[in-house]
Amino acid sequence: MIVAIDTATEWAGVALYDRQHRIVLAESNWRSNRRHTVELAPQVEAVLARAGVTWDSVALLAVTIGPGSYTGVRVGLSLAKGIAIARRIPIVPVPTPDVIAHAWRREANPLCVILQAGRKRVLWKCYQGGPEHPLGETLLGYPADLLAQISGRATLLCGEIDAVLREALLNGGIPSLQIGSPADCVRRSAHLAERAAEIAAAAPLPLPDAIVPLYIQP
Amino acid sequence: MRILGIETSCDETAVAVIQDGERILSNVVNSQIDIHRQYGGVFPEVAARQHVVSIAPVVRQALTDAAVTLDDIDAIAVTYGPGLVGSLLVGVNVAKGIALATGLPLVAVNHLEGHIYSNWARPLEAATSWEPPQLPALTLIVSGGHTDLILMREHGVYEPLGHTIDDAAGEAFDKVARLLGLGYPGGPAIQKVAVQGDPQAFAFPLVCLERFNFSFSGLKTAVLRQVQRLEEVAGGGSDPHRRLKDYRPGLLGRQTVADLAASFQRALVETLVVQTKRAAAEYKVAQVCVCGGVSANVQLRQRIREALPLPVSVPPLYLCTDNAAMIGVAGSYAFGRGEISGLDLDVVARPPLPQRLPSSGPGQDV
Repeated sequence: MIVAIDTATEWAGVALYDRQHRIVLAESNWRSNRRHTVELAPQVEAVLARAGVTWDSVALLAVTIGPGSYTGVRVGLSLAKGIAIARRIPIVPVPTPDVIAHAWRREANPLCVILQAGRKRVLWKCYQGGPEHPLGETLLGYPADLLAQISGRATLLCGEIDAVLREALLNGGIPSLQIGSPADCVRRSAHLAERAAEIAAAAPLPLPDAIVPLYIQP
Repeated sequence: MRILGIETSCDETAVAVIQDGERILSNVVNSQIDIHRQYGGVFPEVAARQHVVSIAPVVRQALTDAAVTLDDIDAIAVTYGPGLVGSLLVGVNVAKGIALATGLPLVAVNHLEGHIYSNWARPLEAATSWEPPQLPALTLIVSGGHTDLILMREHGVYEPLGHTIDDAAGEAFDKVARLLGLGYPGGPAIQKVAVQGDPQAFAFPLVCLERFNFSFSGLKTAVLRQVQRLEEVAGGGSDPHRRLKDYRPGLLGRQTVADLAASFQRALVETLVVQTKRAAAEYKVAQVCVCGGVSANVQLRQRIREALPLPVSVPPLYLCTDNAAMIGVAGSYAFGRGEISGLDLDVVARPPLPQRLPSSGPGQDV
C-alpha cells in the first residue's frame, strides 16, 4: 500500500493506494489554504480509517516535494519523515507538477502545468506524454511570459488556474490554447500515489533523510 | 515512563529522550549557528530549510544514544511555540508523523515552559543526591526573546510577576555586540571580551521598573551614546542621528571595547539580579531558578548565586540554550497530568504560558 501526501500548495490531498491490486482505496483532496499543519495529520488518519487499513500494510509513502508553498511542502515532507522514521518505510519524492502531468499523460498535445507563485507570478512546467517527458525546466514568471513561451502552439493548460488567471490566459490571443476546466485542474493525490508506484518500480529510492524540498528560488 | 522530546522552535534541531520526568537518556542538539552567523541573526527561511534536512537523523541519533526504540517510548512531546512558525512546524509535523504511525500520544509543550523545566532535568553530571528545585520557586527566564520573572507555586501553574517592556536580555546582548563589532551571537561574544575589560569603566544605568518589569532599551542606547562620545574624542567624528543597526565599528581600541562590553554586561546582569532578589523576597519563595540562553552567562550565574540568600538553580550550559531535554521534562509533567494533544495541533508564534488552574491539593508528581 502507498500513502500519498500532498500539501505542496493551498490545495492538499491524501490517498491510499493498493499497488498490488492496482486499486485506490480512499482519497481526499481539499482546499486547505494555510491550514496544512492542522488538517493534514487528521486527514491521513481518517483516510486509513475509512479504508480499514493499518500502518502495518503501508510499505511506501509518496509526497510532493515542490515547487510550491515553502511552508506547505515542509508540512507534508515533515509528516512523511515522521511516519518514515516510525515505520522504517521509504518515501518517494514527486515534483508537484508531475502529479498533474501523470493525470494527463495520454494527452496528445503539449501540457503546461501551472502553479501559483504569489505576487501575480506563476510557475509552469511543460510536458508531452507524461512526467517522464518534460519539455524543459520549471519556469517562473508572469502569465504573459507563459503565453510568450507557448507562442501559439496547441497546448493544454492545467493546474492552479484561478478566475483571474483564466481570464488573462483566455485574453492572451492564442486561439489554440486549451484551458482545463476547474475539475480538470484538480491535483489528485491518487495520481500522486500512482506516479510514486511507477517511480518505485523503476529505480532505487533515495533514503528518507536525504529528501529535501524542491525550491525554485534560492 | 519515557518521553521523546522534539524542539525546532528556532535554529537548533534538537531531540531527547527523558526517563521518569528527569533523567536525560539522550540529548542531541544540531546547531545551525555557523549557518546563521553570516546573517548576524537567525534567518527564518534558512532555519526552516535546515530543520527539514536535520530532523530525521537527529531523531534517530537521540533514540540510538538513549539505547531505546520507539517501542520503549510512552509519548512524543514537541514544542508548538513560541518560536519561528516555519521552524516550529517541522518539529510538530515530524512529531505528528511519529505519533500517527505508532499510536503514541502527542504532548504539546510551550517552549518557555520547557526552559522553566530545564531546572527539573537531572544534570548528567549530577551527584546521586541531586534534588529537583523546591516549590514555590521564582523563575527568571532570560533568552533572546524573553526576560520574565515567573512565580511557580505548583507544577504547571505560572504567575507572571514581570517581563521586559522592550528588548529582551539576549536581544540587548546581540544588539550591543553588533554595535561593538563583536559578531553573533552576542552573549558569548560579549562575555569573551568582557573578561579583559573593567566592569566599572563606564557607569551604565540600572533600570529597575516598578513591579518586577525590565527595560534594556535604555541601556543599549547608553552604550551607543558612549560609543559615539568616544569616537568623537578619537577624532573620527560621529553622527548622533545614526541608528544602532547602521553602526559600523572600527574606531575604538581593543581595551575600550572590552571595557564597554564588561560595563554593559555588569549593568545588565545587576539589573536581572536586583529585580530577581526583590521578587524572591516579596514572594518568600523556597528557590530561585534561572533558565534560557542568557543563563549561560558566567557573570549572571555567579552573581545571582552570590547575591541571593536562598538556593539558586541554574542548569548546566547544555540545558540553558535551546534543547529538547527540557521539552521532554516539561512534556513528562504535562503527560503526567493527562494533557494529550490532538493530531490537529497547530504551531503558534507567540503563545502565552499555559494557563492552568491551581489545584487545591498537593502538587502533582510525574
